Amino acid sequence: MDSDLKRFEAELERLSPRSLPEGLISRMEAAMEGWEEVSEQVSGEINKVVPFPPRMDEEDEEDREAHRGGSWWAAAACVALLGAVAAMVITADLESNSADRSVATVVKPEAVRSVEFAPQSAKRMILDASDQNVIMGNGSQPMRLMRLNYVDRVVFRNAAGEEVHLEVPSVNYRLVPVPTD
Amino acid sequence: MRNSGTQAMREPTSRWRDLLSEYGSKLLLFARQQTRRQEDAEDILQEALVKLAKKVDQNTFVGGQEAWMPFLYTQIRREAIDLGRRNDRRKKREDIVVEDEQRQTGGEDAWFESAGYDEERRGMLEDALKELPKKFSEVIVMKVWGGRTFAGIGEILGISMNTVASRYRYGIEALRKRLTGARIRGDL
Repeated sequence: MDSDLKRFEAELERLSPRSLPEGLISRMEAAMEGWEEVSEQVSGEINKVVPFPPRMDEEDEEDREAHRGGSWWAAAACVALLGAVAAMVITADLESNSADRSVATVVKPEAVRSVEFAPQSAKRMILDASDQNVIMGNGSQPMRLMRLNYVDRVVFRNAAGEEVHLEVPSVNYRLVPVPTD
Repeated sequence: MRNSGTQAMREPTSRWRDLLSEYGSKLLLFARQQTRRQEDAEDILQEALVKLAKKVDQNTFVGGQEAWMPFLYTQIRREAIDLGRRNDRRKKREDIVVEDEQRQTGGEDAWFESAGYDEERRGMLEDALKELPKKFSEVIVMKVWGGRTFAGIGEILGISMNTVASRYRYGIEALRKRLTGARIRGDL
């Protein structure tokens, strides 16, 4: 190391690190003397932590069987409880407010019938076509950009002759080559 | 006979007081160099000291009293690394803001004593040291203000003595250049 650097090093050595305030020394001292208390506090905190339940594969087979049986009974009890509560609410509602009777009417499953519709015809119609622009690629053939407005019309019919008409509008862009001489 | 924490507060002459009085400032400087905030430096220093006290009390400390300081430097560095890992991006952004504020206000978070040294030059040196890459500044802090040897620093950092020596030389040279540049620019 050259003399300049040595002088600079000596200059650095003249700097003193900032001394610890008395309060900080006391704090460090107390922490060092009381490390056991700190450890106890930490272990106390750990004891407060509620562990995750053991995984199913950690339980033995016997416990697992018992667990499964219990869960079935619990599920059945839940369904029964839900049914009882629903019945009480609906009954109370019907008795107290006759105006809401139609709202509270329970639809019987047998009253619901499935109706099958089959597609009879499908058509795509062009409603509008417009010339947007001519696109010139790098050395490639020029293309005309066309915008096409469609509507897809599908007719569904069931066995009773009832019809459902479905219309789906859509927009499509097409590139049409432009003839050049 | 051990004292409880509160008793230690009342009795200023516990067995750790001499160690703290003599080496506390050096250790805190190293902790400060390893962290962004003064509070973090104090916390990691405390963690390192508590680990030493625990090992000594449990008779699990390997080596005699002369090994305490290398242990503390190593431990402070580890605690700083752990702290850095725990900190998320948000905290890092906050730290940068705090650092900027500290730079603007200046003085309150000084690493060195002002007494016996030109205040302006002290500030410039400190800033230059803070701006140095950590691998250089940690070697300089341990060597110049911690009184550690190159071999000792190598053991603490887990690198060869030659690497420590070259880092020290490059670091000192970089510091000197920065201060020379500041003098030429007229900052000093």
